[in-house]
Amino acid sequence: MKTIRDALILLAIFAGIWALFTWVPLFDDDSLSVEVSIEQEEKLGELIMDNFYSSSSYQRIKGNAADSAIRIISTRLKEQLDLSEFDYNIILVKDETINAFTLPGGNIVVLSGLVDFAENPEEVAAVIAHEMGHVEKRHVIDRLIKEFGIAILFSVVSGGDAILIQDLIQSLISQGFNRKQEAEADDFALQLLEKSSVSPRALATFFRRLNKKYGTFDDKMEIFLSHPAKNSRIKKSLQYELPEDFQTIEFDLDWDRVKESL
Amino acid sequence: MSKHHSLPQPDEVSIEEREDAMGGYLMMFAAIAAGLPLPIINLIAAVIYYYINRKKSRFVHFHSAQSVLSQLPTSIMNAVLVFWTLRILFYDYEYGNTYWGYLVTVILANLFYFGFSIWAAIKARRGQMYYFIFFGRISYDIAFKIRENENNPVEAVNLPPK
Repeated sequence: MKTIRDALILLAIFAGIWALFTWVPLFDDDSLSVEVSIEQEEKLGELIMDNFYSSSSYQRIKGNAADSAIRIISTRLKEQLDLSEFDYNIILVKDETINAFTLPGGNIVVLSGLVDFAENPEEVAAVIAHEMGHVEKRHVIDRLIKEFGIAILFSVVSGGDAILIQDLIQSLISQGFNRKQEAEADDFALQLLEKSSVSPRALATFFRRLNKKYGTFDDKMEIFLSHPAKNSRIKKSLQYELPEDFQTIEFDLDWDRVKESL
Repeated sequence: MSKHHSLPQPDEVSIEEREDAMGGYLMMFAAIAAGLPLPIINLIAAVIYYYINRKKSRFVHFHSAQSVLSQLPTSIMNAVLVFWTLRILFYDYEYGNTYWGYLVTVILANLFYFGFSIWAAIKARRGQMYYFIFFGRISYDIAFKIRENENNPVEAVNLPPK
């Protein structure tokens, strides 16, 4: 009897410790971004956008069908962001890479390669919604604080040191987010797509086609940089529960014409 | 109520027995040097050590058995951790809080096991018994329980001249 009792005690200790550290994680991954106000982030975003084209090889695409399509797609998504404190600025730049990334203060950069690869506007909407997730969850500023430190960021905001801003831009273009952040952005995107009457499955179809094209995801692409369980991300998008009365509203865009304009 | 052989007191345990008993617990250090990160190595080493030493004396038998048995849970936990980690790294699973919780639990289990084993090794070197929770009772039974056939005289082979 005592042996069984001891075994049960050991099992209870094991299960108890496991449960404790599962529900109360040791690694406090809480956001650091609360230390930077939205206004400060927006100011940083402005400084970065002022220097973005001179610090990178990107050229903005403006005034053509693709630019207009990005505006139409992002307007639909923005309309559903009732509580957002950010003033979004979504721009299209010339670059063949299939990519999009987020800069501070609600600035999102979509590369023309992404639009060219997308089979329909819904796929582009899915990627932009994902980037909006990074903005709303404040992942960008969080990453900058971790990489550069809060003091450097404040000095940039107050002083606008051009070299530092260049460093920030390079970091923002080349670095990815961690798995948890990518998963949060995915969750945000799926909900936003649903609210915007865009099928959340668009995220899965985009992932799948990209997976097919490269065998594995392009490591340079921000949304896949940390390749967080790509199959589970596809699965999550496919299994996302939609209400029975959910109906999609297609974007009124001639997608072939949009691609031709690039 | 099962019957057990009487326990040897420290002054009845020879230096050789004490060192052999201590050795069982110390095998893990040798195994760590040789085997990490393969958690199964120390278990194999301890099992071999057990079979070599179990016949030496009940005192040595007890400590060797306790060393082997108490390694089983941590070895299994470590193996599961390695397997789980490899799956995450190579087969596209996510690091969830369940994983991190398990990792911390395994680290703690190893630390406790390490601490208790060192303490048991010191006790064994002093010629004393030391009982781990659960494993202590089982090992005591293994080494000291009087088996049913133990008191029956074995049919003698060598007999005096007739």
